[in-house]
Amino acid sequence: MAQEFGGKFSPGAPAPVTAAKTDRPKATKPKAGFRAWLLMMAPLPLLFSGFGNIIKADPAGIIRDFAAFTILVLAAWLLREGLKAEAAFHDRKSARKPAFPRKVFASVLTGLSVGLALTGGTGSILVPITLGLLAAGLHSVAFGLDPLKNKGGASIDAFSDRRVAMAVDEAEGHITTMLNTLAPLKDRALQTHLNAFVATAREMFRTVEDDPRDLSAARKYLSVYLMGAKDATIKFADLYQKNRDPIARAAYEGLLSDLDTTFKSRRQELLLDDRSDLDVEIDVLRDRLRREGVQTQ
Amino acid sequence: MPLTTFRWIAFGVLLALILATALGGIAGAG
Repeated sequence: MAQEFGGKFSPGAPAPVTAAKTDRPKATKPKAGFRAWLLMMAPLPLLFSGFGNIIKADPAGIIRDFAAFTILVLAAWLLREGLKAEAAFHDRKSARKPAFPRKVFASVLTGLSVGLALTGGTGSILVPITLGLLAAGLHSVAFGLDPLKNKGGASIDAFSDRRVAMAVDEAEGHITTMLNTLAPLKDRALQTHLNAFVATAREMFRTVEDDPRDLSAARKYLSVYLMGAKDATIKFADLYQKNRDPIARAAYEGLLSDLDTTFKSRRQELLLDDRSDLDVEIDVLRDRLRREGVQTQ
Repeated sequence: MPLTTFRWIAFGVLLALILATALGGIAGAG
């Protein structure tokens, strides 16, 4: 989005804020993306042979070649999606296994279509079967299987994860509205201030995502306060656009600072909660060891 | 042999197999 230019030495430049550092980490690019692309290009000759079969008026050949081509491209696409999902899986601290094993299906489909494309030959039926199986096997070796197990801590139950995801989505919606509302004012200082708060809020989202048990403690912040901040932003932008009122601006900046401080301290409390959980677990384990006669110091 | 090398070889053979299959189709149709 267009933004008024401003550097470190521009008039009214605010102190540098370490914003956006805590944005959701971008999913690392899947490493084998190029190989998936090659696999999408490799069956192209089948398209030409399909057209060749049209000229030869060979309906079985037309169907066979076009079907094999379509399935191969579909398999390559599935593979790419599977690789993306796998990269996202590895990026997260806790994640569920994919509901649909895309890479496994890509392997099966590749084997099927290679077999299908070869059925046109005059040789024995064993040739397409063998080569189809070979293709499926090579595909699984080359790209591996999908992640087949959940990973991460105790918070892996789907229900609380979904609740957290919904709450965070809603909160992200408020944040987006705030950013979009303030952008047309073209006020760089305000924008920076808001960005700093947004970064703090997102830090809190990540904390809750890491430990969904924090959701009940943070829910008010994610919904009520953020919604209030959103409404305040809309009203402020409306007013400020009309009369550039410095008092309104100061009040709004004050609100942003307050929110920032509150969110930060709340997040600290959430993290402390985790610590006390850990302490309790250690105490329980120590107690138990002592009772069973194992010496701890 | 490290796993990556093994995977690359498997990928190469697979690509060759698919290409051969597809080009064989052209040869058959031509």
